[in-house]
Amino acid sequence: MTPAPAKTIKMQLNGAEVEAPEGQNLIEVCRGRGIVVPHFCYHPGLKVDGNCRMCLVEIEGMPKPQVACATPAREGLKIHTDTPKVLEVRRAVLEFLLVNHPIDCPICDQAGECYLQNYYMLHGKYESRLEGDKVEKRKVVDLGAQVVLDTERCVLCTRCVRFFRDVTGREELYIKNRGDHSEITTFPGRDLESAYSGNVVDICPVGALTSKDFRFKCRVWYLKTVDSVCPGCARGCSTFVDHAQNEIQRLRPRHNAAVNGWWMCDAGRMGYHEVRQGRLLGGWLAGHGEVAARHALDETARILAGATPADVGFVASPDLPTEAMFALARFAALFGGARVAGGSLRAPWVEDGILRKADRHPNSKALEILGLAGGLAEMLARPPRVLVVSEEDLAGDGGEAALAALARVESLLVLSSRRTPTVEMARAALPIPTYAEIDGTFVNFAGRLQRFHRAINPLGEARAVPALLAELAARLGKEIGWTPATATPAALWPAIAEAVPAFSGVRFDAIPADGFALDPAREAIAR
Amino acid sequence: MTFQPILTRNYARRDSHRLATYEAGGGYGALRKALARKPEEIVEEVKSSGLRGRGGAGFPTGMKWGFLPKGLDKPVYLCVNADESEPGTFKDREIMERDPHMMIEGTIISSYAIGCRHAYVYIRGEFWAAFVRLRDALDEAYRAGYVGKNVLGSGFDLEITIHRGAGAYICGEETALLESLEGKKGQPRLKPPFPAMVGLFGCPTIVNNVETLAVVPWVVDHGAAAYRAMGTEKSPGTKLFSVSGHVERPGNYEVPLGIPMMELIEKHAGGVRGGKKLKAVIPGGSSTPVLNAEECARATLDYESFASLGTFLGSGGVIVLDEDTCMVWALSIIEDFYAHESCGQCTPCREGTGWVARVLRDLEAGRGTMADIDLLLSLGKNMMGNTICVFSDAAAMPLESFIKKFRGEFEEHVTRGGCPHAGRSFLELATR
Repeated sequence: MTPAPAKTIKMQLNGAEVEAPEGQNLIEVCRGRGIVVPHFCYHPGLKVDGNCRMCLVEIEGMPKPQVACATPAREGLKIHTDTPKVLEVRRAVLEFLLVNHPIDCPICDQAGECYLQNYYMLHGKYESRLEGDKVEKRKVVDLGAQVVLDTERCVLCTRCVRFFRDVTGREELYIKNRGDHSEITTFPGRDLESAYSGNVVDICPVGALTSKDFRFKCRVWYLKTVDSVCPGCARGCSTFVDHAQNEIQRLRPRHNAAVNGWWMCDAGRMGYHEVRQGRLLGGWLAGHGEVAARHALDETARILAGATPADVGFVASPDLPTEAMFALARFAALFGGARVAGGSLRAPWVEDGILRKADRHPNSKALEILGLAGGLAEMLARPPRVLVVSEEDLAGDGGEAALAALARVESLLVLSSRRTPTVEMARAALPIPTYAEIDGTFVNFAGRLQRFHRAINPLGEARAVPALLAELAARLGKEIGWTPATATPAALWPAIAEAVPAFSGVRFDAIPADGFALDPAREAIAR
Repeated sequence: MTFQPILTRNYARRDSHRLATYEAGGGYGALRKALARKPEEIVEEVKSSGLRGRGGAGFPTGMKWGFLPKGLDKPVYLCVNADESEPGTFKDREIMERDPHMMIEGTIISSYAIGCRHAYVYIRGEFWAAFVRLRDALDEAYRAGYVGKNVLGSGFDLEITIHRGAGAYICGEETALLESLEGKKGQPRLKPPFPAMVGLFGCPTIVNNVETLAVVPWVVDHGAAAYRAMGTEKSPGTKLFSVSGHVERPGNYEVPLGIPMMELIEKHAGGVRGGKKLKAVIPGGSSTPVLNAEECARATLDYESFASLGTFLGSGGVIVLDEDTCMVWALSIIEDFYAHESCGQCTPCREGTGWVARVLRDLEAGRGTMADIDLLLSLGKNMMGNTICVFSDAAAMPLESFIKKFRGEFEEHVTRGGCPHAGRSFLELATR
């Protein structure tokens, strides 16, 4: 994964001696020292192109300024990023970029996170010298499901062109025409067809490529952002959840070299809509439909109180966060001898060789580590009298066979974030939150433990599984080890770490932003 | 040694483009001589001849060949730059139309010298007649065994492929040429790596101009010393100059380097047309800084003299402007050209060329202000030296020199609110 560490060289940056890996490009060398070299076309996830000329710096011994992005660090290099010459060139390049720019910030979605705006405030602030007309180009060009293009705002940095060339391997954009009539465009008659198109919106430094989904929805300065993990598949792409007014506004990929690089797929990006879709906001009772959660809780407690261990079975979903799985396992143990199965009946995806995995669940690995995976077929072949299903929609995903199996269950109890066919078959169902409403962890296919943060408040009466099960345990007069009030991940993790060898030593609050790889050896012991 | 023509020696012959004519004049004799020698000896011969690249940059040809990496397990390519597009330059076209075998022989010898087994000729798309002549000549050369497998029984194999460009000035820039040849949009590459290391299809590549290669057979045939006997110490040999504009006899003239520029204009090209006075000369193609009449009187046709006057010999396109020429109008035409031809890759060039052209059109039409004149100078400065290739500099250099040397004319356009020479179109001037 990580290449062999390069030789460390000594060079000078604005007069100060610095060390850097040999060959590292100067933008990154500077970034590492807190010095921002402005740039448009350079992106660490793409090959260097050197076209925007914004990152020109002075190098002693070179007559002309050089682009930092294409200059590798080497022994003895002396570079300057803040000389009058450099500042003058920067300003000149900015002025050139803005000559034909429509300067329509008030109606531009990018405003607030626009490189042109930011650099102008830092390095521009000149009186306009442009009189007369600007070059007019195409606006509001529909590029398919994800993206809208405004070629007048474009700075022609070709990041989007190179994204397809370098990342998906199938070119979908190019620049037509020459000179100041150059325009980004798709190939004639084609839309953006890639399942990763949304990424070009993120990497577009200006308002040229905007998201159809996010357009005109919210000014970016109203957004609050939390670190999260995409629940769309076993890759577990690191994401940012941008939210405002208790509403998720958009997802963006968060750089994680070990998981997703700088990217995420469009399905994952749009996945946040499911947080609001088809939710079970209160409880469910057979014969009553949706009811206040407390009625469903009463009924659930009543049924479980009357069940013997041999009567009860539990189904854990690979969609649940690790903490919920652990809580379910502990709860099941309160019924010594109860059967526990884990898994899903959802049809897998097709892996695409880029990011998307066939396994559509974010936490299958944790299910394995906790020893909960498997046994679903057996459970359905020989269903218990009382079956507690968490989050899985067995009825919706499993077809006739699953429906027949569930019909044989006397009391189907469901914990679910959505009002699924399974919920509608249940004796009682309780609402639980999605990943966006709680703190928690997922373990991706490669065994990387990642943390996600709560973005919005739980919808309706949804309660996190550990709290819900603590409440149920208390109702049943059993001791689960925590109370609804202490059912936070931070409070649960010491018990998880102690009980599960693969997780030993994990401290919830110490999980790094990019997660960490669990020890595969210890994982094996857990199984 | 007295001057003897190298490049134009066959031009006057009947059917000068035919193989038989070329052979009758001793053609392909140099190839036989070359094949009997070691490739390194040819490189040395060209090095010591002091031959400099005739495409515009004037880089010593032998030294360029010397940059090829040794012992790399990759093919070496030679690309013939026949994308002659610099306004005012039309020498390569005439070579290909009137003596294509001279260039082909040069290509074969040079390929042999640098270890190339497949050479490409990238010819400007608009050069249809030149292309046909070259294609037919290449067919003749293949049939005669000068090109192809086992050239003249020497064991040396060489394929030559002619590729027609699609009409972009920038494809004359060597790395844009390589991109275009690879089937991509013709845009200059970031350097380093230079083509000698990573060129066509990622392999070591030499790109040489038509005229440069056309000289090589003569150098091999007569020796470096004979070549050095003409021209000056630092600018040896002869060179083709394309004289255009307001002269009596526009055309290509081969002269030894180092003669006074006015000798070229007055003796060879018949002087300024209609007995008019000389106002200015754009000495080496449209991108080179303009010389005023006083400077013209001092200029000699060699790299050093032009450098001392702050301009370049360039590709040898000498554009003569007489006293009636509107310098704002002339510059406006030049800058329109650059705005049209900028590849659009680098910001200062893409936006600068268009902006400059717009301001100049306004000035010429009497819509300009005094501030515009300084704006132009400032834009030129900002376009200079900040881009991937020198196209931006090529657009900025005439801008600066025209305004510095003829500022009064620019100001007159502002104070008069129009062009003092208005009413005469480019076509009128060109056909008068």
